[in-house]
Amino acid sequence: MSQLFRPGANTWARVVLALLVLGPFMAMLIGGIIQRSDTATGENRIVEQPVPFSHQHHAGELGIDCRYCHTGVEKAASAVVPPTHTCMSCHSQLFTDAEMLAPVRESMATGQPLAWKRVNNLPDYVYFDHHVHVNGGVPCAACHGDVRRMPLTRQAAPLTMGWCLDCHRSPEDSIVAAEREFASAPYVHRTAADRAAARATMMRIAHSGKDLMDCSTCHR
Amino acid sequence: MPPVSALDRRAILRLIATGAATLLASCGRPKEDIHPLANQPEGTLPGTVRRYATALPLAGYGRGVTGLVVDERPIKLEGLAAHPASLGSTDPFIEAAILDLYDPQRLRAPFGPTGPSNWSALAALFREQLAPTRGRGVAVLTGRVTSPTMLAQLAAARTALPEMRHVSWEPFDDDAPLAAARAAFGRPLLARPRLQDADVVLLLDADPLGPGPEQIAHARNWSDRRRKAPMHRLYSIEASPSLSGSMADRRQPAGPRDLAAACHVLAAALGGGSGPLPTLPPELERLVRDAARDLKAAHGRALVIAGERQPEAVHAFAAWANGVLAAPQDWIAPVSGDVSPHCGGLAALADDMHAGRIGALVVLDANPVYAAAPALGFKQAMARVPLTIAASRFGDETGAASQWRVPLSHFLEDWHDWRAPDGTASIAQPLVHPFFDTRTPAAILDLMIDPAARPGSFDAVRAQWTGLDDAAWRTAVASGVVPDSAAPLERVGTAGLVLPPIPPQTLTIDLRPSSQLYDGRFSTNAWAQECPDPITKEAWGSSARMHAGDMSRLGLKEGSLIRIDRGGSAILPVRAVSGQALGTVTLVTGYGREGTGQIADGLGANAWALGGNGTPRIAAQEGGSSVATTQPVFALEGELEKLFPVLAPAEAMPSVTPKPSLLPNPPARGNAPPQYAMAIDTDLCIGCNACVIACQAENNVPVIGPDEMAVGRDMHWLRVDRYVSEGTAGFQPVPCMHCEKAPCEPVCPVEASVHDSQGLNLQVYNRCVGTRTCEANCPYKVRRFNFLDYAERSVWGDAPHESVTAQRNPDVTVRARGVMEKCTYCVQRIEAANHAAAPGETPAPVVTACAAACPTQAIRFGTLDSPDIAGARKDPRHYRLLEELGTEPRTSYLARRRNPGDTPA
Repeated sequence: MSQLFRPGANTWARVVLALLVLGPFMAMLIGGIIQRSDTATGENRIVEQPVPFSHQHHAGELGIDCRYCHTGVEKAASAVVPPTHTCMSCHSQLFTDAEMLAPVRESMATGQPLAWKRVNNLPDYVYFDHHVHVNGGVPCAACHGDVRRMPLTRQAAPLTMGWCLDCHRSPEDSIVAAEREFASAPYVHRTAADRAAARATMMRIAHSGKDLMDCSTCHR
Repeated sequence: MPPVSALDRRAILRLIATGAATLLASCGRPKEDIHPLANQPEGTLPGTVRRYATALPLAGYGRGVTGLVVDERPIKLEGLAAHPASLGSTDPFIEAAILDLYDPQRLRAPFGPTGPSNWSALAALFREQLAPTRGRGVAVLTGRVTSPTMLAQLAAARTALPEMRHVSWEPFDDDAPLAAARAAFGRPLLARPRLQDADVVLLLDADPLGPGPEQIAHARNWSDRRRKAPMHRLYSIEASPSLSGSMADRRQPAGPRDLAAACHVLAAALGGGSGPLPTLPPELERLVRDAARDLKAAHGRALVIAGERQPEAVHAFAAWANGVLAAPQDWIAPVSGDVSPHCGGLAALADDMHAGRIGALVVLDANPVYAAAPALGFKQAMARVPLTIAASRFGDETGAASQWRVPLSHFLEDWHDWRAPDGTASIAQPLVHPFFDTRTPAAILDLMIDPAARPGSFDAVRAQWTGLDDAAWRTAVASGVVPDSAAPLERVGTAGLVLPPIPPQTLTIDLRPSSQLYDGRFSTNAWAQECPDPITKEAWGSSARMHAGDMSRLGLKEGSLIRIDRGGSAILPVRAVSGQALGTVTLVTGYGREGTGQIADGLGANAWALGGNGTPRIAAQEGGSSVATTQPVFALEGELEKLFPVLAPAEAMPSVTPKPSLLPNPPARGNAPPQYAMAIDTDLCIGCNACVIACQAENNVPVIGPDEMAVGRDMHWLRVDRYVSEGTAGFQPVPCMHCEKAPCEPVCPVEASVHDSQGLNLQVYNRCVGTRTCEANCPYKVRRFNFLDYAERSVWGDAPHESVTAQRNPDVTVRARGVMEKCTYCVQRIEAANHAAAPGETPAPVVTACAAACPTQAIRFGTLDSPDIAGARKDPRHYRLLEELGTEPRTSYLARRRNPGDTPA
């Protein structure tokens, strides 16, 4: 009777046994890596828009304030994607026949809204409130990155629940002074004013007794 | 795809690969668009709630409401504090009206005899056929008209078409009280009882706290008096348990014979009448004698109210009794202008139609084919009219019998005005552009008068109020009421004693408005249909209510089908109701609809078909059927005192020692944020269901339909339980208790049920995996499970139902299949208050949707240290539901009181 197994069979058997043990862990590891990857979270994804709006040009080179267009950011949950009327307040005078702006002119003429594609997309069961964050001293750049250097807007943060909670757990390092909230790089060279603002906000949260880690903070 | 037998190995592999690829590709988040308005109105921000005062009608009377508008969509209606018929609260009809706006069953365009048509074709028809007649043979049928604009339009129509006839007709009319007042005082007047000033009230089959245009105001006034000491006393003699009867301190069931006889006995006791007294059942006799004693003792603060469906003589008797007692009651001239009897007007019109004297009939927002007395044969009469036009919001029986069916706008889509039952006028502004090619009744009248003219409804209403300058007009529109427009009070003389004739003791039929559907005008509303009846807890249908003794005499069992004949006929199941008078069968209106759409068609039987005269015939039918109920009826042996304690006026709740509990203690509160709690006064809850539908509207609670309801999958976050104990009944709203030691929390394997620092017991939908262990462990049974994808399923049949999603509250998650949900204490409102508070300030007081809706303010919400909640928790009547379990609920109750004032038998 000849040999049933070849000499290498022992090695294979060991590899299989090891994989049986390690395999699930590796699968979890790979799954975790994929889940946190840009592909899954959408970080750094650039979404094609009906009009290739450049924050770099408008906010960076021209220096238009964030709040000129995003009017809700200090007052309401929604930061507000500006109505067509806001675009046309300049573009009725400038680049009035640019091909690129045809959809904007059409929207103004017909009253049909522009269909902007959502860049920063949170699930429907998450209720993010811009004005609470902005009024508390969280700068725009904390979530949106340095939009003044984005020719096309991309998602600058993973926007996963873990990422949100990192800050909710200890917000003090993410809070800056009011004058730096709309800055391009608010976290570079942290000043005494930033630390004072952070202390004030932290005091206020502690005084109210509110726990930012409560599920009801974001989920309703 | 090839048949399975033809699949070879490669084909199977290909299919598996395709499936796997599809699965992977489907894992991404849905891509979303943002649609900012092209031109956002100045001063508004997307996603924020704006509040506008407007008004809605019920039976022709306006009731002020506040419309909550988000992104140009009205999503919720609340009360309007400045309006005397709303007083800041709502009823189920106001709450449900918002769904009508988005209802996929709405009529969208005019429909002529040859198919889809348009308004200009109708205008041409009016020009050709109406104008030459000068109105001869032209009839306009409307409901009750209180709108000054509409009345002016009718007057203008009479000028243009001088011989035109206008008939006002409401299924639940005022004919009997008006006729009684006309006989007593020489002019038609309506009584307005002041329940807030009455120490003793006797209800003669009256239901002031029940469904109707004045429910909110009466309920508020009644609750204001009930809060005060010394406690008032409410006597009720009625055929079938009503909301008012349930809240009465003393109640006796009585059919028409006993009620009339009771009037005789009462008259004698109050010093009127002579001659031999009729006999009464002993309990009723005792109640009448006690009531007479109390009424006399409370001279000037005692009131007798006759039910609106009672005959003229009972109203005349009540007018006499109130005169003798110097009752707290005002009289006003009817605000509807037209005081001709509704019933008689419709009968005369039907006669003329049968006789061929009517050439054109225009029905504006009325449904006589459904609700008119069967003897009128209105449907057959319509067939004899050469031109029939019916205007309504939804398909209905009258529309089906008409040649033209034209769509009316929803009340929130156009300018209107109405008067409240006390005469206060309100100018109702639209909250949204009309969705479809619809018009208001006034605009259709306009079309009749001058087919070429097309003034906007704004101009029509503005022209009516020229007395208001622009500033006053703006104030009136913004505040929802025209100042000082209430009807003047009338001085009346003394009414003579009228004793109602005593009818023979026979089987009688008692028709009542449904607490959800009213006379049928809310039948198409899915929220109204799904809302359980306050008395029987039936949803999506209704049984005939009978005394158990009558049922056994006729050989009927619970759920047996019967056929009732009186004028027309109705086949429906029976249900034994405790507190029903012997010899009366009670049916509620609004069911048995035809041609209205998927919601109402085929549910129940039309009670209006029994609107004939004479003795009804009842015959048992083969088979049985049951209507889904949300609360089974059974005897609680010794547990009733625990679940629904009823106290004497000055009695206090006994203290309860909780049993030792294994539940974990709540986290220690150091520097805690405001702690929220709810207190519900069961002594004030009239069971009207406004809170149930308010919660449904606020919290995106789905409609599940009759089949799911029948298997007990009710999704309402708030239920109202009804308890009947000896001599009294009562209601107990049960939302989530938000237990401090919550039994649902330790059993959740994924921590989807957790507490937050404000003391709220949260349900985290995105964590929930649907094990339903929490539901099993909840002693209060307030958790609701999405067995199916209720939010996406349509109960509206094949009609596209995307429009109803526009009503949804954007601040509340729409729950998916397999997720547990429950009352959140309106956490979205709490968080909105937290976010709106200026830095360092405590958030503004929060009102939940149910508390805002409650007409008697029985539901109070606030922080533990707020006066409302702290006061309730110190009240001697305070108790917690199932307190011995030691769950320490944040929702707690005040016990029902009863002030019977019995004389020993």
